[in-house]
Formats: sequence, structure tokens, C-alpha cells
Amino acid sequence: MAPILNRCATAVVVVLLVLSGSGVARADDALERAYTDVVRRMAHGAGAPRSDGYVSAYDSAQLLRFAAIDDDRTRYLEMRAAIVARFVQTGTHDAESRDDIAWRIHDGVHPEASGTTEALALADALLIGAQKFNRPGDRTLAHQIADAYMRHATTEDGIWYIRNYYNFDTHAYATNSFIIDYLPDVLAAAGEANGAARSYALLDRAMGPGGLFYELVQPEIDTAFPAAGLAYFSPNAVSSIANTCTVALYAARGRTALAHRVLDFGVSRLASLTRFYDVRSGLPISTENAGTPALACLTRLAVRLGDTRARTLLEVPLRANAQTQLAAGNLDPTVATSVVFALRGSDR
Amino acid sequence: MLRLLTRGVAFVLLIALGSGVARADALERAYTAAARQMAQGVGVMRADGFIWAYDSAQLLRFAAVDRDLTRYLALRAAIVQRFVIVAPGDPEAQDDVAWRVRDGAAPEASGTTEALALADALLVGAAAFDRSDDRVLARRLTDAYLRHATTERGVWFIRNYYNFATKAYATNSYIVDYLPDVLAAAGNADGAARSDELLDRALGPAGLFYELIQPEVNTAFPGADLSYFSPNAVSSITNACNVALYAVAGRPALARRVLAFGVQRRAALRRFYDVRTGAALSTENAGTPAFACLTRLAVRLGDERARALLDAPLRANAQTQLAAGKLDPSTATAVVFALRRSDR
Repeated sequence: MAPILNRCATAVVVVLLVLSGSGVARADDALERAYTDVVRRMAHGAGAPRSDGYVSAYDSAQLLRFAAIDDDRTRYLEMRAAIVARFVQTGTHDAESRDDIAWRIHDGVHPEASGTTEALALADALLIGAQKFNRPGDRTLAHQIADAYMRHATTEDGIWYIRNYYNFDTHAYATNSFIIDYLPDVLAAAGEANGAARSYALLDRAMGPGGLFYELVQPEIDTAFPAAGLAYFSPNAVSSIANTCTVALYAARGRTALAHRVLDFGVSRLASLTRFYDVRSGLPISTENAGTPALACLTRLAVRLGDTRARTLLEVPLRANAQTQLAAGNLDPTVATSVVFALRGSDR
Repeated sequence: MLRLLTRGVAFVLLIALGSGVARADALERAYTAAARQMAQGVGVMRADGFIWAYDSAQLLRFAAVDRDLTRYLALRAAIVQRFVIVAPGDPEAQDDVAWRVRDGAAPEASGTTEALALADALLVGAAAFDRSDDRVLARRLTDAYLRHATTERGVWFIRNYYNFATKAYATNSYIVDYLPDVLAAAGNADGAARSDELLDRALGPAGLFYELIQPEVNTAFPGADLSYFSPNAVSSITNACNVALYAVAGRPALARRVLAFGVQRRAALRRFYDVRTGAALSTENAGTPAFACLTRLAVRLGDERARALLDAPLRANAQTQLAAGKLDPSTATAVVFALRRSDR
């Protein structure tokens, strides 16, 4: 469904771009309008399914966020109702899962587990909607979701972290955490000051010597490696510039220096930005182009940090990558919305 | 308690070693005496207040290799009673081995390395004392171990533990959870074959194993194929050797590769290496556990040259550790097996 939707959208949009090349529209705006058009087509109901048939809460949260930023109250309210009904765990008898966000949903399938990144992404969208449309109820819901997120917190071997998920079936929490589970600026905005402070402190510890974050926090690892200090690690030392940037984007307020470091990492490697780097040395580990998601995120980070020079440097590669991806027709809601926010130079 | 015990043992033994009365195998006798002192009851408590099933399994194995039926039977009875789970209400836990126990605390979770270590000890005991019941019990333990198997994103693996309280399995696996030769010896041919195949995939380019199998990691790295990995690329020579030691029958080439890795670096063997490049990632000496394991591996592979090359560093490290009084059951028994050049 999603690929068909994307391809139709792409066909329409490529025609628009061709027209734009003929002088009908300014080149700068055409790409942004094309992406906006794609996103508007996806932003209905509870969101767009991915190729596995599931609708991902993270994707849907980005679409809701887009509707708020696009100042489209009708779309926002329609999506909000559908997303809350499908993803927020309200009718449960399990107090441990109340207000958790199902990480993905599928018709006819019970939600499997909570999503922590997903909870913060939805809280973020609701906070923007609350502000945009003067909806205090959405602020309250964002706070409830952030509270449920905080139930995932634990301390193991002296390390505080957010467990990646709660399994609704086994009623057990995961025993590890991914770095993308931390968006402390969202916690702060939702009024979870203590959770935000602990998350910022975790990010301080999770920054690797190469300038990217360690990807996982998993204190149990120390059982197999006593005294090796491997509770924060990246698998095979591989860290993703896109994951690191996504975290930095939501640490720009509370940890501005860390966010600058991540932006510098990306901008200084712009000529050949690859997907993965060695978390210790900062050397590239893959040859693959980092692509649209990384460049869109870095552009948004530059905007949030007010770094016009970085934003200007990022613009050409962002547009080139975004154009290629649009033509290929393999857009998902997260990438598409991120490009819109980047090209608009504003995501609030 | 353990510390006091080992210091007392070390003191007596150092006097014996320093007197010049003892023959060249005085070190072996000293370690044998230390292992015998520990090999009582359920085993020895670690500094965390728990008795670890892995330690106790090594002591049971030692009693069998030492051909001490009385000690073996006493340990066996106590260990089986404390560690092997009898759970009429939870078939998923039946015959699992608790990874550690403590007085007054309910067992927390199964141990998979621990199950295979205990099965191995029972198989050695069954052979040494002609006890067919122990072979049957070993098979029950390996059957319970194989209940931890799952397939996720096309990757077969043994989940590291089953949590007795939440009734949930772990979502990952450590390389030390695989001892395929034990499965084969217990009669679990399919599990052994799958484990051997997993080890083929888990050997890193430098000659050590990736330490974890955790397919869920790929969620955060689409297309990067990181199901098998080492944290920060760090692999332990001791962990790799412990796995290779029990892959000699099924995967002798892999075992030889691990042995070669250690022997080549024996002059300055470190605890940790980069799983991709083989470059040293720590400055710490790999120590007695690594040298004892590599020596046992050389013996099992019939590589007398490698064993002879490892003899001096093994003895130097073992002597230092004995003098420091920091012996645990796993290290002490591994040294005994290494110095005796036989662990069966």
C-alpha cells in the first residue's frame, strides 16, 4: 500500500518538478512543495503502513507533527483522534502499560510492545499541536505519555537508563536501551524535569570519542566483560550519523555543546558523508552515502542551533539527495516530513 | 569467605613450593589441593554472596576427572538439588539450571552456559563412574537448554536466559552460551549442528568470535547486518577459547584458528582484541584463565607444539595468581586440567 501510494505521489510530483524546471515555479520551492504534497497524501487516519504491513508509531507521530506545523487543524484533529485510539494504551487492565505507546500496529494483531522513542515522538507532536492550536488537553496527554515513558526507567549496576520497551504479552521490560530512546528536550518541554536531567547526563556519558553517540546502553554486558566498561557501546563499534543526529536534535536545548559537536561531525565530512562511523575513531565504516535522512536531520539541527553557515553548506547535498530519493519513489513518512521541516527551515 | 579460604590455601602451598622438596609438578599439586578444598557442598560463594552454577559445575567436573566418586556424589546431590529447577507449575522452567543461587533468595533466571557446563560435568561423571543416570540427567538439561532456542529475523540462536519471575526469555545470546560438543555428546544432534553453524557465522575476521547475537539490534541499523557483534568491537580471548574448547569435535578448524590467535600473541597476550582487525584493545595481561584454556585447547587438538609454547606463560601466570590468593573454582579447575594435560 505504502509503495503504491508513494509511487503515485512521486509521479505527480516529478511532473511538477519538470514544470518547475520550465520556469513555472522557482526551483528552491518546488522541491519543498513536492515533499509537502507527498506528506499531505500520507497524513490521514492513523498513518501510512510500511512494507511489512505495520503502521509505525514513530512515522505517525511525524505526520501528526507535520499537520501541526502545517497549521492544518482539521488534519491534525483527524489524525490525533485516530493515532490516540490506535496507539495509546488506555483500555488496559495492566497498570504497567497504561498510556504506553504501541511501537507499531497492524489490523487484527494485538499490540506487541511499547515504544520509548515512539512515546517521546508522539509527546513532541502533541506539544506542538497544543501550542499551535491552543489545546491544553494535548499538553496534558503529552505529559501522561511522558510519565508512562518514565516508567521504563531503571537502574542496573549503578547505571540509570530507559528500558527500550515493555512487552504487553509477557509483562516484562527489555534489559537494554537504544540511544534513540532519549529525546530529553521533549521530556523537559513535557514537564519531566528530573527525567530530562537524567537523560542529559546519560547523553554526556554516551558521547563516544569520535563525536557520535554509543548506540546502546546495556549494563548486563558487564557480566561477560567484568571491569571492561562496556555498558555503553556500539555493536562492532558502528555508530550511525542519522541516529546520533536525531538524538542531538532533541538535546539542542539542554546540551547545546553536544549538539554542536554532532553538527560539526557531519558538516566536516559533508563531501563524503557515509552512514556508519567507528564510534571511537570517527573513521567511516561503510561506503554507503548517508542519504536524505542524515542530511535532513543535520539541516534541522543547524536551524535549531542557529548555525546559518552549516545550514548553507548542507543545502546542496540535502537537495541533491532529496531529489534522488523523490524520483526513486521510496519515501516513508519519517523521511518525507523531515525533508519538509529541513527545507522550510523551521519545524516548530 | 572465599577470599579467606583461598588465601589460607595459597599460604600452605607456597611454603610447599618454596621448599624445593616438590617435583616439577608442585604447581599442579598446589592447584589440585585448592580445587579439592573448594569442591564441597554446593560449591563456593563468590564475592557477590551467590554461588554460581558455572563454578559448581567445574568443581563437579573436577571430582569426576579426579576419579573421586565420594566427592562427586556429594557434590552432585547438592548441586542438582540447588540448581536444577523442578517446576510443576511452569513447564517452561522444568530442568532449567539456575545461573546462581543464594540462601533465602528464589532463583532469578536460568543459565544457558551453566546448563551446558553442568551437562558436561555429568557426562564426564557418567563415563568416569559408569553412571547411566547421569547421562540421562545431562540429556534432560540439554533438552531444557534447547527450549531457549528461537529464530528471529532469520537468525537461530539460544536466548541467554529464562526469567523465572516474569516468565520471559532474554532477547539475546552470548557466544559463551554455545558449547556444541556438549550437545552432541548428550545426543542433541540437531542442536549441535545448529550451534556449529552459528559458530561458523560468529567467527570474526581476525580469528575471535563476535560476543553477542542480538537480531533486534538491526531495528536501529536497517541493512547493516549487525545481528552478530561485539560491544565496541571488543572480543575476549578467554571467551573465544572457552567456546572453541567445546567446538573441537564439530569444528576443529575454528578451534585451531582460535588457538593460533592466542599462541601467536602469547608473549604479550591481552584480555581484549578488536574482533575485526585483531589489534589489542586493552593493556591488561590476559592472565591465567586464558592461558589455562588455550593449553587445554592445544591438548584437545593434539597440538603438542602449541601446548609446549604455552607452558611457561601458563605456569608463570598460575604461580602469580596462586600467590595473590585470588582463585575461583573455574580458574583453579581449568589450571588443574591444563597442567594435567587431560580434562576427561
